Amino acid sequence: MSFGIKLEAVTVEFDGHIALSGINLELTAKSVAIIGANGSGKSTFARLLNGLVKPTSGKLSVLGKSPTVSEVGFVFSNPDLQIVMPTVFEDVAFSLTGKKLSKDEVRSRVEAALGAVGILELQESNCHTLSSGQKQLLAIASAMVREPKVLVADEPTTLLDLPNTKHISNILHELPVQQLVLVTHDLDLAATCHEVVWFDRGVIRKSGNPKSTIAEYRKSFD
Amino acid sequence: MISLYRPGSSIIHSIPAGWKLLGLALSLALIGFFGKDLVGSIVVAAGVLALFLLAGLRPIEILMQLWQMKFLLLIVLVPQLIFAGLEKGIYNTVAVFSGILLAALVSLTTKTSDIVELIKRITKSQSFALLIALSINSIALVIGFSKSITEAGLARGVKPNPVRQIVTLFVVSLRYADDYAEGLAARGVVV
Repeated sequence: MSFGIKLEAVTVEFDGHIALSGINLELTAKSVAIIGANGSGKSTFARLLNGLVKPTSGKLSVLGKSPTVSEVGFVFSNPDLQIVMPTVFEDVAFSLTGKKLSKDEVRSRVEAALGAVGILELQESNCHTLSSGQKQLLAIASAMVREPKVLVADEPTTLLDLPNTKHISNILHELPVQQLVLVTHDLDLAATCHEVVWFDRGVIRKSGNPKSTIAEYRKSFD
Repeated sequence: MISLYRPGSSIIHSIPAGWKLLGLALSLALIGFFGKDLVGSIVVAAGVLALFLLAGLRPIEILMQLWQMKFLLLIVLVPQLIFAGLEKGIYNTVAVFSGILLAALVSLTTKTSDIVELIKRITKSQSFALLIALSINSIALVIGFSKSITEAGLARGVKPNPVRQIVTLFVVSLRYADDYAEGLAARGVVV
């Protein structure tokens, strides 16, 4: 079975603007951080991975196949964008709509997902009254309940304070996925990953060891 | 705030959503038929109170529901008092608000997902059921937008203006809709 994410000469263009240009990349590390300035193509890259954005040209595969929502979970920086149902349990269960599972199976999977992110006791709570950190955990549980093989999180800690950022970071690294991709401006969070890719104006400036890549990224602003 | 649902394990909570809605329709018909005099109004009001208690909800919950409807109460009561007289006006108002409270009781004791599931079964349409779920969810979002717009205006020293508020709310909601659609696609929602 193929492992990881592979891009061959991938270009993404929106209305004449090139967001990603001829990207060649192979990611096999368990956790990968994507860093770069605003507008560098990070979020476009993240959206490519679960099929929200299609390549204009080139070839992309995730685990040896074209990316699908069922195999690649996605978490946005603003969790409100992913809340559909009023209560926590219902919202996570919503992700299983159409899976033809029995009520007991749904309950068991939802409880497992909520337990994995530590918010099982909030299952009857109103989603809109949760704190930002709890909402982000809910978004992660909603993605994880589908049991994706890869999880992509686009700036998952942007709206969070330091304790919540650390908590979410720990939770993300403990999730049972084959590969975790974190798009982030938080270089401390990026440093927790096995590999870092630095995007700059739609191309990859450097990828590899977190320490050296982050150090070079920091230096580029001096 | 949406999600009126209050978790519980009462007998009212355990009744399936379809039966609850059927019971509500039947109750509304009975209220209209019997709630026309003093005895009928007392029986109706006591019945509503009993159902709230049976659902494990405190009487304060009824008062909170009525407080949220205070303006509606005035709109219903005042014309009734003018055109139907004091006695009849009060009986009619008790009947109307008992009906509303019973509908609230259904919301308070029924999960949105159960109502959505019922709609899906009746209409055989996943898309329609999703539309209902999103409509319910959007109430909280739009209330949140409205609050943010008011606060943003006040922070910049702008006095609240209903027309400006509505136009801004409309623009913000439309902009948010695009992002929300992407969020739904990421969760595997295909319509």
